[in-house]
Amino acid sequence: MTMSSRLRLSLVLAILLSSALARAQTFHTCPAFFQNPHDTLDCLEAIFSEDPLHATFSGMPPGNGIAVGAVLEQNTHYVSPFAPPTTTRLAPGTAELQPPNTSTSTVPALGSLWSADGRISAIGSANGSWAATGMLTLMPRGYKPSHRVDRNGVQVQCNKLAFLCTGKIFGLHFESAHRSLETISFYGIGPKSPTIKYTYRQNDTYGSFRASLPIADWLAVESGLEVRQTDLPPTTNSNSVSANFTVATAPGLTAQPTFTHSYVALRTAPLLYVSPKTDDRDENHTGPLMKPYLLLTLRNSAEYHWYAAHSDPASSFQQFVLDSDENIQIATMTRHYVQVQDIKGSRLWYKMLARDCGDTGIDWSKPLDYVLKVRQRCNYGNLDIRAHMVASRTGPGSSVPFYLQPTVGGSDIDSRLSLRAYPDYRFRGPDALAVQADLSLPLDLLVFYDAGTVGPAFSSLSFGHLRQDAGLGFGISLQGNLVAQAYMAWGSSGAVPTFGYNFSKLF
Amino acid sequence: MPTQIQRLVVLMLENRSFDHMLGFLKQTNPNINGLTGVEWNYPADELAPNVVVSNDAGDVQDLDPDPNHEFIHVTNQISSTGDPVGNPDMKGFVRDYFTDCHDATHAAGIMKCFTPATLPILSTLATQYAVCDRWFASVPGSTIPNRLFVHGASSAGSLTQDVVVGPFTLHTIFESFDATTPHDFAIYTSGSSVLLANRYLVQHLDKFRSYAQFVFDATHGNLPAYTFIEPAYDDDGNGGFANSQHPDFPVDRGEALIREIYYALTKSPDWKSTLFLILYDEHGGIFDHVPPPILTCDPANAGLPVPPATPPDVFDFTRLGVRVPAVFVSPCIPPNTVINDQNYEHSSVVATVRKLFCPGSQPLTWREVQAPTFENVLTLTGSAIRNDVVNLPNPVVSGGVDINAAAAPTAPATDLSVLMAAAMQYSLQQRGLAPPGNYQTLTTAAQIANYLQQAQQISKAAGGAS
Repeated sequence: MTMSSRLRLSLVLAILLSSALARAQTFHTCPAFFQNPHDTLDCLEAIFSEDPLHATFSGMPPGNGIAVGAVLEQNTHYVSPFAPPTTTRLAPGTAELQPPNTSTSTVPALGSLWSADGRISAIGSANGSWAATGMLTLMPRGYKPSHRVDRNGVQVQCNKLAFLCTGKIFGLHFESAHRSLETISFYGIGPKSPTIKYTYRQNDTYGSFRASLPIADWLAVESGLEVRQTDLPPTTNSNSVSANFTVATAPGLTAQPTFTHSYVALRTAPLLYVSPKTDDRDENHTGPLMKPYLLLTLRNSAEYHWYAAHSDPASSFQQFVLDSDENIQIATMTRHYVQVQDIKGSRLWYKMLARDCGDTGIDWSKPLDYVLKVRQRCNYGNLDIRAHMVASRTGPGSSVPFYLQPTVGGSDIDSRLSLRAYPDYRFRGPDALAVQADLSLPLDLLVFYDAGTVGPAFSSLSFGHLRQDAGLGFGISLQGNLVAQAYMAWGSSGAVPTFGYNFSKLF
Repeated sequence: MPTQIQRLVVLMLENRSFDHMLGFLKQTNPNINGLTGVEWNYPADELAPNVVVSNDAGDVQDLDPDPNHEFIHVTNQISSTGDPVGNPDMKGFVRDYFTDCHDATHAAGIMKCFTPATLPILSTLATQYAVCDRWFASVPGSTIPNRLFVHGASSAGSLTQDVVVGPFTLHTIFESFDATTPHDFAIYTSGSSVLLANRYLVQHLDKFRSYAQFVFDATHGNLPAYTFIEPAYDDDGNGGFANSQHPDFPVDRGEALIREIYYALTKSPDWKSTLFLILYDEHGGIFDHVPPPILTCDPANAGLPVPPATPPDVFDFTRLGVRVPAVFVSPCIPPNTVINDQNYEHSSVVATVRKLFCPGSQPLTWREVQAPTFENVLTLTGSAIRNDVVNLPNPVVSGGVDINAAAAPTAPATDLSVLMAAAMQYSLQQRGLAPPGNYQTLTTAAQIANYLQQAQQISKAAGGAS
């Protein structure tokens, strides 16, 4: 991908983000679609943002392409629980103001206790895969706007419910969906499965609800319940899983019970800033050239899942899942002015610094041009360390159906990256461990290391079976979200050039 | 000589007119060109009485559906005769809203206004620092063109909610923060900004910062010379709420945002040379009683770039939009300051930023050149610079308990009501009138309310509009 194509993609995504301000965009420009670029772009923007019905695109699970479709959504504004005060209107021609009548605190009706956002979407991809989803989010209106003193000593806004005062609020999320996936890869089970790829089709139908309660801005508890039915439609391919495996080698192959799946989770996501407090007034050019400016986002979660198979107790199991994603944005804040005339000797170092600090078009032939400015933030990259661990527990004679086992390699069914030098879904097992470190450098360069393995039991996740790879690439981030990656990865299976995308959110 | 502004922080909120938000501040400071309470509009139903302004604007629900504020609707709002240039009478707001909501009673809600009691944070800051009652939207139109003007003194010819061409092609003041100036800028967003589509800024994405960082940056001395803050324009569906005050999002959340920014700035090592400017992009279709001025390009500026006219309306960008609130906050501003010396508009931000931080650069349009600047607003200097931090009250949720508590006869007076009394006393003294006592001796809400009532009567008796 060239720089200009990256710029184009960034612009498209930026326009989608900025369209939040443009509520009035409609299809009225579409009849003039081919007449001028202005109307073309306006029409396209309306097609992808018009409320309540608009087009969308989204990534499908690996092997099933990118899907396009339509979204019907209805969002209600979150409002506080009180109705406006009783109308106090002035008599025409009088100047006497009456105080607003606020003596009656209105008791909210039952229907106004919750704020609701709803969405229905249907998408399909070129290989025949499709998904239809309905989602409803309910948020109680019992929260009152309030404030608390943060660690900087500043009164910051929050939402108050009893003794809790948090930025996010309690939410109930309902979802029902059906997805039909035409191609899922399967290489057998275990850390030493052969490289022969088989495929199967998978249909999932589920209904779920989850409730999340923020305890603090960095801590939330969550619980959920789901009823899930998976079917594996037969295929006639010679490399199909059904033609090459048995229940012994692929548990759950011949019959797929309905599962009741429940879970509890504890999630933490503290945001930490590291930067000394300084007084860098323009006339106060003392101290070192830079001060550190680190932003740490530490997302961790611990979940315990119960999967109860309705008609086949031997398929029931439990899982303990640990996820961590520790992100460090590495930056400094400039504390001195540096002009071209101040640089003695080689300019290479300063040219590199100026680039990291947002080069403002320095003319190196002009002695008074500013190379660095006080309070200019210089970004050197981003270190992201992720870990994903799954430990399954089954009763005697029971096993985890293969289609519910975690996978390591490429992307899994939830588009989670792991061993990037390996194909999607490469290793599969009831227990899994994956660790990754990504270092994003200026110019969107990416250096990464992956390790991971699977096993029949957590104790079997030994270093002896650990697969590793490393690679180089570049990514496109927008507003802190990685939206696309292209990279070359080297592992024991050789080099694998890959373009990855991460459109997990519907636009 | 005024104190030099070294840090300028601009927060631009959404879609509220001056009278709607601050018009009733005239009750406490007659110098403000606000509401007397008799301003009216033609009713939606021709047989009904005229609709008079009222002081009962609510947090939500008054302005749902969102009042029209596209160009043609603004024309109808400011001129009931359809002649916005000749003599706009500002009497078409109710009828225009009726074309949107189709309910004559609800359409009258476009005349509802807040009071200092129901909009305590913005009112307190306007009282304790400075309010400008002659700040107009740059374009008699909607959000995007006005938000472009605050960055580029032009909307690149756009009069509509165009989020593609105008935002992309516009040249902005940010391009002037080049290597020739020692100053820098940052844009804090809560996710969305029309600036993210700008062809210059998209190549300088490092200038965008998450609003979540703002409090930290402000308190740790990390703010650049010019900071522009975008509010959250929409609920995020996950407990993060819109605080832009765009109808019909709750006004109290925007009030909370203003308070948070104010307190963060007061903790900054740069506070004593900082100006915090609270602006609104346009009036959102809501009533205001002051006709927008017409501009004329000075022949001396004829060679400067002209904001391109926009077909098919053939609008030449010489007419300003409806008046919007503008509040200046700085420890170098004395209480009760009213700025009304000139007709300010969003291009004034561009012109002032250039004057302060990019003085060697070229202006973008004649609108920028002719826009009045506000670099001299920090009038307090040296030891006169204020050390106080105003104790801001809680935002008021419509019909909520905060006002009720204050209204109880024996309830202690709130900080806001004491401030109002102080402002009134100061105002009367400045006009040579004897106040009805010393507000500092009053302790209860009832006493303060009585004091304010008497003060208003004194003011009226002396010939000042109350």
